Amino acid sequence: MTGLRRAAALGLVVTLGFAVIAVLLAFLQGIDQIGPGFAAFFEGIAGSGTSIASTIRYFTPILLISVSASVSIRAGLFDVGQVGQYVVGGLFAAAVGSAMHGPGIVVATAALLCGAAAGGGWAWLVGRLSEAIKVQLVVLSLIANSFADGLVKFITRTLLQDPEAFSVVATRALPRDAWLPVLVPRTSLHLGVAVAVVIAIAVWAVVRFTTVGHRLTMFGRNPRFAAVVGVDANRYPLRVLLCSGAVAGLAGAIEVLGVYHRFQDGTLGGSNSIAWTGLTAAILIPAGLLAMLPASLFLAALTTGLAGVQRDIGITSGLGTLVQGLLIVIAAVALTERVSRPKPRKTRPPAPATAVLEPELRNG
Amino acid sequence: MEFWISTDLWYLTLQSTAALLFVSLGVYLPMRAGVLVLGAEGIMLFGCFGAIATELLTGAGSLAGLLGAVVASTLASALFAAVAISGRVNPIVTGIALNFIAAGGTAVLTAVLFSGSGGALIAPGLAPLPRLHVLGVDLIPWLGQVLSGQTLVLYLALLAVPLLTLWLNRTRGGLTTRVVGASPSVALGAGRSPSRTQWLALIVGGVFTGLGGSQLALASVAQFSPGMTSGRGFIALALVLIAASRPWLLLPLSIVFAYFDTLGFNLQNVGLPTELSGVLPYLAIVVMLTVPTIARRTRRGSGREADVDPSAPASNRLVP
Repeated sequence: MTGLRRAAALGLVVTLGFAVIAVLLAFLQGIDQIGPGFAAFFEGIAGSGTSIASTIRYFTPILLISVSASVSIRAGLFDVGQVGQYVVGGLFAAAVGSAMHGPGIVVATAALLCGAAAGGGWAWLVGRLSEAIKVQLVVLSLIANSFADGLVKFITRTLLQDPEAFSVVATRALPRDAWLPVLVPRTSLHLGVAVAVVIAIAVWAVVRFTTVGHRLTMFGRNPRFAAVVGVDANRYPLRVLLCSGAVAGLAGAIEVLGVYHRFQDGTLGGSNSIAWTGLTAAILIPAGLLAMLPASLFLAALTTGLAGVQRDIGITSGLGTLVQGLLIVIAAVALTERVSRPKPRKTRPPAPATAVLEPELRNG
Repeated sequence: MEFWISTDLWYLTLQSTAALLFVSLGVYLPMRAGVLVLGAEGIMLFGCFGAIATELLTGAGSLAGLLGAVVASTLASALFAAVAISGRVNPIVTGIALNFIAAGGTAVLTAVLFSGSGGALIAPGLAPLPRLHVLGVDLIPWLGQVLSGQTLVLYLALLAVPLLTLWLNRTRGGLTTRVVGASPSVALGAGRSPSRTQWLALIVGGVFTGLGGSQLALASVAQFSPGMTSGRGFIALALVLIAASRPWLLLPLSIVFAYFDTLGFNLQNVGLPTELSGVLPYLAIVVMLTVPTIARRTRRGSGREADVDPSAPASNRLVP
């Protein structure tokens, strides 16, 4: 597919996204509410310093998750377990951060690294299990998301519960000097966004310019060819999962260190997790890496914009999820290559072999 | 010991088995036709919403709710088929999108139709499904207490498993479905339209999933809450993949999962933390997924090449 066509398709997606929001606003609140609705939408994205900071705060995990998912999709692995990796990473970062003593920067670095390692380890485990029992990774990683949610809740409650938090399942708070520094005072904008952007660009550079990245792309395009030229086809997918899981785990650790300052059940995971949004970006643009920057920004703006509409106009929070789902369908339809399909013939001899396309090719 | 086989625990187990079993059947049939319905979670959620919304809007009682669930799920399944089969969009992507649309769409519809805040839908007028007492079953000692007083949906589910197994293995339509799943080009060559077969499988699958959704929403306390399917659609996918070419396996698999799921919520009674309820069912799934592989390995001796499962559908790969 040419870049031009892809750009046109994405422009269409953004335009249709706005149209969908407008239609839903008119449908839910009446035609006259479209104007104020959009005003609230843009107010929510960038109306004030606080809302800009809020958009960037959502941008950080979305970007990291989308980069993580892009890497595994690029290698031909359809891993949708980012939510689980994100949650597990967050829990481990909080566990290490609240247990360690020492200078803030040491604690913070150790917590971030542990979160990344935990996310990678979780992804590796799920991948290894999927390979061992021959269940599709996409199914197993979906189940692993719910499993991770239950598991971290169990671990938090039994091992790490803050004795002073009575009604919530949460770990102890991290020491204040280990929090990620806030960049603009009195907002939620923290250092994490810089880390996220640096990692996104670094991953792009590695994939684009190095042999490591070439191997990744090659394996995704044709694993058999990659095996012939020396990629270990058994271990390589697991290594990719380890790395992409580490990025998702790091996203969870950054959220814990930068926003929540503890791990609390329900803040990172669940069906409303921001990690699903990050996965959306990666699915919308299956081979993009640098493209994750604008895509994540767009989805973060969508999140805070719709939150603004919800606040000012009083629309349910389900609207954001609905728009996301519709956007994926629109984008997927716009990006699907049209191939003419052979028709079944009742009485004639079987269709010639050349006319019968492999189903995988048609569904791609 | 009494706790583990208590009739209360097993009554609730069978109640939740019915919902899971129907969703599994709803995923199973399209799987045999070569479509993995990743959107089962969303289709089921639409079913739950359809059941409660129909009851609230028509006031016609629980059987109308059952019908509403089936209609809502079938429509959602048809949407999936229209995009994934007719529109030829990657079914995995379509499924994920459908789950988003269901989670958001039911919340928005709750707000529009019932001017709620997108929270749970529960009203005193909502009737649960009637409980059936089959003559004679009540007299069997333990089984009678577990089986009697269950809903129509459970009996339908128990009936649907052997019927679907027979249909798939012994009829022309079943054969066509299996051929389409195994090799669409062969079906095409034999004058069968793969997309038509897959459409039909998805529609019937939608009916099954809708019945499962009605059981979930209407079996005990009639209510709808956002995310009430809590991963059952994904669990069904796992069960379907374990069952592979043996549809009858779905029955024991659903019972085992439902047992551990129900157990989790009752663990307080034996002094274990309730948080285990989020862990136990998934551990059960992992064990169930692993056992066939281990069994296969020990049966065939060693060697990794030997245990390729020919019935496993498609591969992990997303073709770019």
